[in-house]
Amino acid sequence: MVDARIYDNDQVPAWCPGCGNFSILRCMKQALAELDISPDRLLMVSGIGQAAKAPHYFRCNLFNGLHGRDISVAVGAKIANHNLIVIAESGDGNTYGEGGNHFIHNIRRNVNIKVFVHNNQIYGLTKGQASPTSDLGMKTRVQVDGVLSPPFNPVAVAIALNASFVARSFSGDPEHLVAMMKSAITHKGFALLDILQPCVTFNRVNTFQWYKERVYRLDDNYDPTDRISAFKKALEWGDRIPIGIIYLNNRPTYEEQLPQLKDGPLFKVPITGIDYSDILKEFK
Amino acid sequence: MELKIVIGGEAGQGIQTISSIMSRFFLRSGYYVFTEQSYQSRIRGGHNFTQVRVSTESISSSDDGIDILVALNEETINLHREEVSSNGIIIYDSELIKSVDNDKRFFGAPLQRIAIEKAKTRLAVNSSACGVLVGLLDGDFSILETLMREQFKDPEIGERNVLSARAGYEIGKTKNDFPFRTPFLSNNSRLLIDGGSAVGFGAIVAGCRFLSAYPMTPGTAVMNYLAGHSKRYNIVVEQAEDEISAINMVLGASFAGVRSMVTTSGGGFALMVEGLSLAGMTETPCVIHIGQRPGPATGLPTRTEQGELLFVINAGHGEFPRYVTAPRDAQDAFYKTIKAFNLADKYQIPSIILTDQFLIDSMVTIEGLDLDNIKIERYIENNPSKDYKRHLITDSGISPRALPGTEGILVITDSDEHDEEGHITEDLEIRKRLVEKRLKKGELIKEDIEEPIYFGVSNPDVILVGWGSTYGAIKESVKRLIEEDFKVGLLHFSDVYPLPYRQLEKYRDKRLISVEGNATGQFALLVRRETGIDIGEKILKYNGRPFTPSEIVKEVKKIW
Repeated sequence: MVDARIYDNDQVPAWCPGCGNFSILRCMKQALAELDISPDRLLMVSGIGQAAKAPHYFRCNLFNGLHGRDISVAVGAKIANHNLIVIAESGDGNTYGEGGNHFIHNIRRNVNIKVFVHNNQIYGLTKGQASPTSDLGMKTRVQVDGVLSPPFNPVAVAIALNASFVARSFSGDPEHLVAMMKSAITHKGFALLDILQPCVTFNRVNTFQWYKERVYRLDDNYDPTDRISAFKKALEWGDRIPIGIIYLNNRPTYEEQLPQLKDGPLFKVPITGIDYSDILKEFK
Repeated sequence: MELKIVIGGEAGQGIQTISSIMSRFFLRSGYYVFTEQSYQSRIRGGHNFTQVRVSTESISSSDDGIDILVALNEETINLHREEVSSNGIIIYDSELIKSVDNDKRFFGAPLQRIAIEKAKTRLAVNSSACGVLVGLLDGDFSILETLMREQFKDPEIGERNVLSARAGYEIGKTKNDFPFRTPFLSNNSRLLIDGGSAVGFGAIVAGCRFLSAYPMTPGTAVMNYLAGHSKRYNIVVEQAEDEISAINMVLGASFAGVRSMVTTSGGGFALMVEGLSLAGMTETPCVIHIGQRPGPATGLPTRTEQGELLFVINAGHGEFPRYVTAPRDAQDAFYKTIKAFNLADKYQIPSIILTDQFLIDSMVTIEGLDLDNIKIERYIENNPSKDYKRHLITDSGISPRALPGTEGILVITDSDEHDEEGHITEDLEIRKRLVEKRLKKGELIKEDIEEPIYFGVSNPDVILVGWGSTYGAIKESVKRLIEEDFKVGLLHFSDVYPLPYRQLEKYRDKRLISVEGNATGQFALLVRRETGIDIGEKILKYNGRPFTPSEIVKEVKKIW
């Protein structure tokens, strides 16, 4: 294990004091350190939102792209260089709203990337509108009569799509969060980690206390490979909210199935000195 | 010698197979061929046709008129009969089409019966029709025989099709008073290539090893081409869930070091525009191929137009440099695709290749492709210094580009305004310097831009101005006008943005006529914006069909 301080940089986070993001950032450094991942081997990709700023605040390669499109960039980068550890980190609005289509289809694609979603059930950067995961009835400046659409359930959707790894954790349980991050990173295949996180400024419903009273760790006897019980756990929300590895399904990754990537990363494939005479024959 | 063959029928009747085999037949017999497809947006039915234009001289457009009409259904006869020349011929299936009159141009052959008898399948009507054509034109049957065997992987099916073709050939030979003859001329090393393959092959030669796209006609041709060669050349082709994902995947792959491209049409590009801006901001190289088709919205999916020029040049929020090239023909498309990849890497910008359905789907005979002098330049810093900064401000505006994963350094970029290191910033002084750095590159690109081709008399009264795939048709019209003593020339652009202006300046006081495949004269507008030169007169076409030399001659004479 390396010292977690090797990930420190001189950037100053632009988050509110007491934001759950600080805990997630600390856990991230801890998990990387425990896995002995050198910053230059790690590529973080993020979208837009308060969560998506997180990778600026520690040492890593970084592509901070557009709102909702980080998973696509991460997939492209992983296909180009599968030796990189690629993690997409953003919030619930970014990943489940704007990026919904990429979320769905990349679960199917199963490229070996990790998707860490800071899920605070609210839009922070744009100052307090409902997010896809906001609870029914939550009143905001825009949803003046309360949220009318039932919340998006990322865990259930991921299980429905036969995701290879689906976990949930809570920023208020750092020990658990570090363990989940490590499991996601070491898993071979697309890994979704939904991280419950209070927004201290805009979300007056789902507060730290609210989560604290509801969140419980899955017990050791829980079998994440059983899809039906995983569904049951995914639907549990309200009085009790389970955290842990909810679904595990070891299926072949996208990269493993491509003969083009067998001999090494794509970016190292020689592109000069190639004989193209067989192509020229096609034009005769 | 010049000969125009039109093959018409419903989609699914084998028009493409016949035209493809016959095009190769003429190529191998020593002729120049230009083959243009006109098809409807459907898999079965509708009226579709292909023109195979054959000449002893180099040609790069189709033209009006028909010498041989191969009618696979009755509708083809009704729609094209008027265009068939008086000494031309209309080949039809004598057992399926009964409603012919005593017009002496009709020539019936039991195409389908031959196919069933000789090849045991109705599908072999392609081979019986090709046989009739070769017999009629006194061609070398052994060339057709070889083509038939190459066409079918199963030797037995190949053999049956040869029998079907031979039976057709014998019938064709009975018509010994047909005025057109295409005997074998010479062996040659020429190539028959379509625009889609030219862009695709150019991309492979340029080192493109990742393509992501959402299928959209006519851009799909390039995706098909790369997928068809993906295993042999280690290319990953990924069909994206939407165009937004396609361009973002490509930017990720390019950021990590692979030459990457998307291919689409105007509507798909519209979805990619935010990603284009991201490429500009993060200075991530990428190549975007856009096969134009008529818009707005879904427009005419299988037809042609030059309607996206101003959209493509102006696309993307914010200000950032780009390179836009509109290849004039398939050969140019091959080289310009390679150039697009090289300039994208050199300046860390998006490069756009702007073709159209006509260029993508048409096949043309070219003398060859020079693969020995292709330069691949990546401009990647393999040994960056320890204090590496992805967006370092330099005199040229170009920052050294290292790849993530390089030991001991970090590569950081951001769609937010960022500092030299790549971190998000709200420092407005840095903002100003980074804007200037990015825009500086746009000035440098001008040095790599190709001036237009001038073709015509040395002191013209009128200069036609064109760009992109109209080159062949306009050039041929200028040739004909010069033969009729018109003092005319053609200024034709392939690289269109940044707009090359030196030649334009030279001719600024001449009478200029813009010839464009759109309804608003977009290139003329661009010229005025960039140079102040007002091209007052325009010949515009926007019905979804490409220009022909004959119609340009007619239009020029009208306004001369």
